Amino acid sequence: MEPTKQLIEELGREEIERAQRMTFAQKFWAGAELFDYACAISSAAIRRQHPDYDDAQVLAELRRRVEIAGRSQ
Amino acid sequence: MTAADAVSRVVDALEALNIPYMVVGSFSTNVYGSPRSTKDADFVVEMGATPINSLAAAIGKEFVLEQQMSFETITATSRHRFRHERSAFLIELFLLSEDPHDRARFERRVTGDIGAREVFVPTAEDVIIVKLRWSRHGGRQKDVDDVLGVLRVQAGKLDVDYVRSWCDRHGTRELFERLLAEA
Repeated sequence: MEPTKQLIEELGREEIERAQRMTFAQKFWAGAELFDYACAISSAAIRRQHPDYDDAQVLAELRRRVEIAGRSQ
Repeated sequence: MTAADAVSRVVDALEALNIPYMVVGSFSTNVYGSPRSTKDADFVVEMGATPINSLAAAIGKEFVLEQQMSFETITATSRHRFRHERSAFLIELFLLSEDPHDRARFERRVTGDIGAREVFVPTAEDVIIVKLRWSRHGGRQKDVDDVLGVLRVQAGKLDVDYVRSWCDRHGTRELFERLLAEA
């Protein structure tokens, strides 16, 4: 199903209204919390993919993936 | 250590050493726009006579200061990067430059309550001005999206004439007017 222009605009309005309701503190920390959440999920995926990796190897692979994601933005 | 812990540690160290600062980059964009994930925290700091190694010591041994200092070409300032030894999160410190707008936004910085303390951030107008400038030089869509986000969330609250005055100096007025109309 293709999203309609109306649906896209509605979602955009909801996002703006949600941001307007958030406090300074919530908005300030949101980016860091999302990053930590994404790192936890990525680290778990790396461990599943490479069960032989120790913590240092998982962190190195996580950093590599974060770097790649940053370059593609 | 969480990303938030890392940011708090840097703010603690800056305040302990009385180093004026403001949190810029994605953290300040998130404050005024629609929040998104960020892999680093950027600070503008007025180090004065304080050596960077003193700040590094105050932040803590588990933060590794990369020895290679780099340069940011738009405001012609230098940049130091810290990496936590057990995290993928980065801390970047930009030294306050002589660039007129860099100085102006630092003078105009405001405080915001983040719970147990307050932090310094630029104004929404100055976030827009910087993002437009980066967009002009780097051509990154992310910067354009950030400007649109701030314009939409802060609609009706912005000093548009102040933004225009800097855009005229930076050659970003046409882009600003286009995004303002789109927002």
